[in-house]
Amino acid sequence: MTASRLTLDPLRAAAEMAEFSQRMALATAELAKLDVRGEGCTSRTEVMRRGKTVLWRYAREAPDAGLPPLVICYALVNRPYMLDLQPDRSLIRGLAANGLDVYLVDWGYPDRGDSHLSLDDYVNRHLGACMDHVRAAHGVPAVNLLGVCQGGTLSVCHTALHPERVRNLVTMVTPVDFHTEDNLLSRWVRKVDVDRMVEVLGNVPGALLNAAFIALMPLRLTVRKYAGLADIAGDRAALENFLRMERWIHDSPDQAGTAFREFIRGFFHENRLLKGGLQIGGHPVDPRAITCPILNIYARQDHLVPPAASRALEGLTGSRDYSDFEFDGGHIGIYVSRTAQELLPRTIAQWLRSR
Amino acid sequence: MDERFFDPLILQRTLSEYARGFSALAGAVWGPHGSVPADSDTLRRAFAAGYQQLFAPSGLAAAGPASGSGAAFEQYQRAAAHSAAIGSSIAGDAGRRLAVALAASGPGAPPITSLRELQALWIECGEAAYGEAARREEFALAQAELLMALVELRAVSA
Repeated sequence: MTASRLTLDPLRAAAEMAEFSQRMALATAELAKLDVRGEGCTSRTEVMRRGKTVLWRYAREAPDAGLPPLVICYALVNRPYMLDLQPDRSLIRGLAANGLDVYLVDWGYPDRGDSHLSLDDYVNRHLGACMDHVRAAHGVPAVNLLGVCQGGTLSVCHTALHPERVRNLVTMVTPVDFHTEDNLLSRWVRKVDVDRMVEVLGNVPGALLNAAFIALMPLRLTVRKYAGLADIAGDRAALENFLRMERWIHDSPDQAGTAFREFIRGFFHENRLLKGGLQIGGHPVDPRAITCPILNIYARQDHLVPPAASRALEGLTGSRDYSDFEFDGGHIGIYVSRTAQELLPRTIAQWLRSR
Repeated sequence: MDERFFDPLILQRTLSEYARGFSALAGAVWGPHGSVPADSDTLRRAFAAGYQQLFAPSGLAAAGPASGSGAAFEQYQRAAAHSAAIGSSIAGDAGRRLAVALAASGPGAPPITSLRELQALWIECGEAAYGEAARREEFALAQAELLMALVELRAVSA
């Protein structure tokens, strides 16, 4: 066996190597000059706070569509500004441009004093307070709820526990079946003694979760990504995009120990949402209690939440109005790709309008 | 927030490592004599060495202490060694996959005329080897064993 495909010319390769090194040095120097520390780009106002949870209201950017307000529930494990990263990459801005009144639940950064926070606190008390605030502010009995990633799982639970509060439920890249064959993260997590981990660590470091996410595809998410910087070294806008994304990736809040343990055991270890027997705050979470219309959005190439993990929502609830939407992209592209900007806000707004 | 990422020196060092990795690919191709090795076995070994740096020891193992004593440290050493052995195995498999890919012919195997193309194939083969191994029970157990060993180290140092 010989390396018959290798037809590298030494002089050309040396020149390529020199140029690559120069461009990486340029990219490094340019990145060091950039500041992308802001959280989001769309105008917003804090309307409620409970503990470290903040409810934001976004400025509508089009005439009122006349729909009940939309509350977005993001994951605990990352920061929600991914949904409003920059003006041309913002699901929130897209929804506001469709005349929707958008609210966002921001869980903040739990610290040592929050290690006792449980799923009951997050799902019933904090999210519940946000939902009640919006219902009261708009004088409506029920609002639309959009849950994203893990926030979608929490939203499914909230809707099952408080169906009267939710007019329509939209889930986006939301894990429901945590034991699908292709769920690599779940395979790993199921071997971890989460009780001992939380007993020792208290809160679980965000950096640890981040390392696990990157370990799912370590070459693509490090070597290939960083080598690609050479291609954009002279493009300030592209470098800003890169750095905003990097900042978000590395901005992983620590996880409140109690809620983390409950989530890992109930969902990853025991798959209770699918199999039954899930309890939050002593109350059974029965997905069949969800009777409102559901739009389930998932990403075809999602390496973190495989499509099958999301599609499991179909048939699990008591809703007779279930639709799904398959986005041609991955777990990150669904937030920030050009296609997503054009497609998702419009799809969500149209679906809500027709209900 | 992991503020370290915004430390310009750390950013510079991180990106420099990736730039060096690119140069290392060229080094693997030409070797000490400045010519492309005639046999793929030499190439396979050279590329596997690059994979080795990436997969063994894993990031988790590197998070532990270099020296220590006591039951928790011994547990960590065993777990780190187990994880490193799996990493070495993945690196070897990735090297084999790359050698096979480089020896392929036909319409699906166009000539590789640049280092960037070679790097893309290096990544593809490495990710394929890693992805297959990472789905095995043994990998998940080794990662959990290592993580829990680090947790126990934290427990005794608290």
